[in-house]
Amino acid sequence: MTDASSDASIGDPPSLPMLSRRHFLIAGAGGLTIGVAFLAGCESENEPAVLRKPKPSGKPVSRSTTTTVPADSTVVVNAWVRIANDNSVTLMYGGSEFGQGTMTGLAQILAEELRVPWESITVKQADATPGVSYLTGGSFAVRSQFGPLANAGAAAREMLVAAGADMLGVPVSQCIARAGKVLATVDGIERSTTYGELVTKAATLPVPQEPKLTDPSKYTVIGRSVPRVELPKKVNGSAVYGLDVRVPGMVFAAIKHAPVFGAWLEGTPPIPSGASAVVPIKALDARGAVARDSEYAVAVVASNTWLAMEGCRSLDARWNVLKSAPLDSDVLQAQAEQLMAAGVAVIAEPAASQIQATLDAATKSIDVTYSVPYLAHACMEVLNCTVDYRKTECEVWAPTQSASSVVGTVQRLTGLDAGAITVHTTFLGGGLGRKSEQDFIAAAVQVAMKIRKPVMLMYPREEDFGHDRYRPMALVNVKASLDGAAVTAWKYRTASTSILGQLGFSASGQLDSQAVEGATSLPYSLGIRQTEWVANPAGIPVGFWRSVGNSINAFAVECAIDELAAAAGIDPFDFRRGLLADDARATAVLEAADKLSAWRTSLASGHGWGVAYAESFGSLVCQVAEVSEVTDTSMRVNRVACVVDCGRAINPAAVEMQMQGGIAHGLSATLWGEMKFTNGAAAVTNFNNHRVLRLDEMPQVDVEIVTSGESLGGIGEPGVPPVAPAIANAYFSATGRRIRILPIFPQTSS
Amino acid sequence: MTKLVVNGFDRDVEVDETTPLLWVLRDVLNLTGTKYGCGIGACGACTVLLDGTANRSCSVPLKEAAGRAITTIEGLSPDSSHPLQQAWIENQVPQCGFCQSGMLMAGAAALESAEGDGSKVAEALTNICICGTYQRIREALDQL
Repeated sequence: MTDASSDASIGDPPSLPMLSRRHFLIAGAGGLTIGVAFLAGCESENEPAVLRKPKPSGKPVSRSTTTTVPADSTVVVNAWVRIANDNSVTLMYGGSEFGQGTMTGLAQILAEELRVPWESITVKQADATPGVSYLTGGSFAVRSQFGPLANAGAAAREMLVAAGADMLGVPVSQCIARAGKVLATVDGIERSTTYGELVTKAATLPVPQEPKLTDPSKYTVIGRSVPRVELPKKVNGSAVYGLDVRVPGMVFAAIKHAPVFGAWLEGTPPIPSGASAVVPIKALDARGAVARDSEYAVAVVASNTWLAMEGCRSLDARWNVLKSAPLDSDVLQAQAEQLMAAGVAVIAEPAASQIQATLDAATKSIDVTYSVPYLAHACMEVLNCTVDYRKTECEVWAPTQSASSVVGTVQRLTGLDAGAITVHTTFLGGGLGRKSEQDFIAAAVQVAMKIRKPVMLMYPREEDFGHDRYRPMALVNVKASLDGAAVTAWKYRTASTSILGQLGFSASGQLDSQAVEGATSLPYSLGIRQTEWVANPAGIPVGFWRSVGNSINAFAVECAIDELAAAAGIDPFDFRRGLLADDARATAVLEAADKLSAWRTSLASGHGWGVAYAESFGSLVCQVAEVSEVTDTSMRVNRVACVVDCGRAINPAAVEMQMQGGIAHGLSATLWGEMKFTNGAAAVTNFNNHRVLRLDEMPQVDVEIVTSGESLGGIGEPGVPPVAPAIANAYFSATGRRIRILPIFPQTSS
Repeated sequence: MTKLVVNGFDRDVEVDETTPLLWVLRDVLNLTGTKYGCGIGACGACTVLLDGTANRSCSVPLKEAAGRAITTIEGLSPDSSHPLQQAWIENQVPQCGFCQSGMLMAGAAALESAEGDGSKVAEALTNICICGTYQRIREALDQL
């Protein structure tokens, strides 16, 4: 399946030292708390601990309540799950919620093992907390949290049952836990006691090291489409996103970047009329330190956002343009083509034997090049961050995908200890990978440090488009040969800019795994195979865009497979069947998609269909699209059949939503999405020239979930990669013409 | 000073009367349910009702809103009981939710003029949703 690298798709290194995680059940005032303990710097479970500085919420734990902590340690435990003696259960949510439904899914997992009604669990957004907070990226939340949460819930349940047995005066074997109670039949009479009555006693019992987890066949909460816990706030305006944070005495700031990439501020501009301050913003270097003489933007501060944005518009700033040749799409394209032709490649998958001879000897082969553009994220909520810097402490409110990275950023800028920094994660109006970055956080912190008032820094939409970390443009060449229905050789070469390289996480000459994710470890039988990548050093800032490299490579791979099927004269479904014959799990997904798209055999003239299959983030997805009314400037996408095997769906409705959403998102990109650059600046500046799908253009998406029972796969991203190739293959089916360049209908010229 | 009527309450605000209504609602009156998405009337996230008609508040100067009945998402119903709010919950429409205030306000105005016909509401909804909740919006409207 998917290689391990994609699990860390948002490849932000931890801003805190590597920590080993342990969970504890402790008695607190009025309840049983499942805590997460942190011991910094431990490589293994048994090495001595180095004490971390306690967070304000941390509670010291006495040794007697722990079984795995070295005896000479005092440990700080951050509350994660709390069962109170009023029977309430609270789960501190350490991720970021932007519509994936993770808050709800985690509550379901806990409810299942704890045997409480899922509605009785209150999910609270945690402030950045070691052990509780995690990076929301790589479609990894439920996958990474399932095990620890299920184990913690099951351990708490076993302790509560033991306490209940004691209270009821019966052996544990006669007790069951159900609906927040421990029940036993004593002398023919059913007796029960509530968790609330048992928590104090339970907390004194030994913690089970290997609690018995629920057999999946007995699940009653996991696998149900329970309603999302945060939705009521999202229909009445009360959900607080980053832009909605209000702090007493706060002021508002808007950012204005240099008009072209690679320009630096020349002196601080005068304060424009209506504004109260102007603050130059310095860049952070690749490792997060403030770079000298690097004022790449200015923040204008005012009493409301409108005045701040007006101040940006009238700002009289002078910029020093350092780079000689401005970045321009035509030049970037030519450079990428040059790299494809002659650039030195890093080999991701070396061929087992002589590949060229096989390609040369084939009677049927393809040699095709695909091109995908830079893409903006265009989250509905623009980048923003609110900071209250009070010299000895700092409080931050941000729509961030990585609260603990924010702690690190604030530490580097302020020099404060982590314990003096509080980071509140708000709801996010979309994240899409962009909100794992730290640039907007660092800019807001700099403004707050300068003006010493609580301040929100926001990006006007034009700045959000113009200073994104774009999905990299990429070129891909596929050379492949056929012998009947068999592929005998497959040579895949791609050129793109390294996201990890720009972030300073991978060295020059090193493979960026994300550049080839979705191109390596393919499930197909492809004969002799080679995959290689050429690093493109172009200066456009690049970043993680929903499904990252998979969004690029699935397009090229699945279009090339379709071209091979056509060359072999075989139906695209049958051709893939042949190549996946050894993979039962993939075949099951393909067969389900075949049935779900039975409509494709009776399409009217002028309609076309296309299939694509892609594995990403541990999930297998096959999509079949139907298109019609194809013209030079438009076409209609009527429906998409989507089959997903994510191992097991915790909440099937959430899986369906993420597939529908991923398809809508991928469709906008396929049809129209593109960021061009003219004279060093972004050509797309707002939604008037960035076309996205609208209600009347949304195809009917039918989703079927295959429950293989295999390891959990991600859900937030895997719906995206197959969209583009399914549409491109459908376009071919309707017109006989191949789509090898995205978007299909460019909206901008440069 | 400009006199406004917001969700049935009289509000006096002291900002330049060229300020877009959006920012008066958000930054002066702290009614943050109305969202900023684009500032040019292209996305619909800032939709509010003026005398019952849907308007993109980023493009309405304060002076044009003076004296008119302004309804924001906070005033759509006192208890999320508007038929669209109920249908949105029943069909689990929102994902990130950021566009949904505008979607609901545009939908509420359209529903009024469509006399309850959900399919006509769908035609009137040109707001952008990046999460792609459109299919569930359609299902919610079909159910009205």
